[in-house]
Amino acid sequence: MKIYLVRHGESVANTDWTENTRHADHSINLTDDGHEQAQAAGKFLSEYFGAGNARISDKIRLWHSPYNRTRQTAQEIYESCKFSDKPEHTRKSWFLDKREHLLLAEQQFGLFDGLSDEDRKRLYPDMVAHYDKCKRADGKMWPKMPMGESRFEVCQRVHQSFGTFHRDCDKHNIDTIVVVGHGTTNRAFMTMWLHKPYEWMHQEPNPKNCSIRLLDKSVDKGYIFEGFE
Amino acid sequence: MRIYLVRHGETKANTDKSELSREANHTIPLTEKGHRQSLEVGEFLASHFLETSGFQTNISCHNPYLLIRLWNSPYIRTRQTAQCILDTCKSSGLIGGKGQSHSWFLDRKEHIFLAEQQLGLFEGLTLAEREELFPKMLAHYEKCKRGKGMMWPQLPMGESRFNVCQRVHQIFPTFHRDCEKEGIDTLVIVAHGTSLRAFVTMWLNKTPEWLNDEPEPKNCSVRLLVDSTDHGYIFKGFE
Repeated sequence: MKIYLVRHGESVANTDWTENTRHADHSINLTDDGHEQAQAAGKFLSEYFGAGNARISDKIRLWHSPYNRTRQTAQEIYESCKFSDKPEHTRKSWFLDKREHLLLAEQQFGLFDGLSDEDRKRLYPDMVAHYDKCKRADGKMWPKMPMGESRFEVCQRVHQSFGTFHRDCDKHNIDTIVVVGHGTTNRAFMTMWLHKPYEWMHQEPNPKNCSIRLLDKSVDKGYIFEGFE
Repeated sequence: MRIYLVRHGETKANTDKSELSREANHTIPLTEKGHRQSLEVGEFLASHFLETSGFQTNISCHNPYLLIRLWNSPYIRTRQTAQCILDTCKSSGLIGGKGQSHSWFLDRKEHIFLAEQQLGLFEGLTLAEREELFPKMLAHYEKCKRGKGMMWPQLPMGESRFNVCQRVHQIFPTFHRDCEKEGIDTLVIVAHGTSLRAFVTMWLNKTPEWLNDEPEPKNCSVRLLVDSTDHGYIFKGFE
């Protein structure tokens, strides 16, 4: 299987974190720049496939998380991968279809959602102390957010989505997927798919907006599209 | 696969919310009325199976061709509802020859992942008490709700609907394996208002907004899913 992991484009909260104090994480939208970044990532993918990295007959499915910013990013990529210049083909796009997977949602920040670092420390000193203790030992994998998830929990449920991908591949020959997810879920995806240790995830930097990372079977090919700061 | 989703019958907590301040959720039994509703839905299912199987009443044989498994959540109210359904589908006397007591069901099993959403510290509290005791939690809840995101907020020491979706989804390999290896392609699942909607969300790949807007099923209502198609409620249940 070939898996292309894409992070969403720039969101309103990426440029102004106080957006998170007003709106729940799932409802945060892309900025105008974020839409353009998503179009650029889509154009890159379309050209990359066209340069011999995929065949027209390949079954490629586009998956995305159920958040607004990933839905919007996936929609831009989907549009960019339509064949405007190949009317002779029966297939109209590089993609077979586009689907949403609940288990690709971003880490649940719970009551930390929309709080500044200072407020987290002030309101939840015990939890921040626990977090810091884990962090000192390369263990950001472990601490849970209050009323939310740990990265460990994200790894578990992202791993649960693999059954769908394996079944699609075995039963329907869908052996290439593009997954539009989030900073943490995409790293959780790699942790589980490639059997990385928890220290790897701890040290792995957040992917850039609209960066694309290719996993080919069990091999990490790294970023093939570097994305945007 | 054919999947019949049944919500449990009426419980005392359905009529009197304060019951949950005295008893833990998993121990709440059916009321008398809830028992009658459960027998009624059992009769509905027995006649529905008869209709859809094309099976003649006077043929002496085993359960014709259907392999139907009855699943229930491990709570008292769903165990009781499932037992009523099992009893009705046995005593209908329509299957098997004289003197034989066959059932529409191959067997009955319990699955822990069908349990209701864990309400944690919210269990048994009125809305006013929740607001008073967990103001930060409630603010987060309201923020999610404004974006049609009731999927996301977790209850204190309990689950979010997202958590329920995850563990309900974990049952699916059991169902797929039972179907592929043993031919059990029809399931009746007796569970709860939230866990059943989580089931529909994951089985049919619905959006979080769908779950947000979907009303709670009525007591003993039956919803039919055939493969990836939602046939809606085929037995409307009781208010």
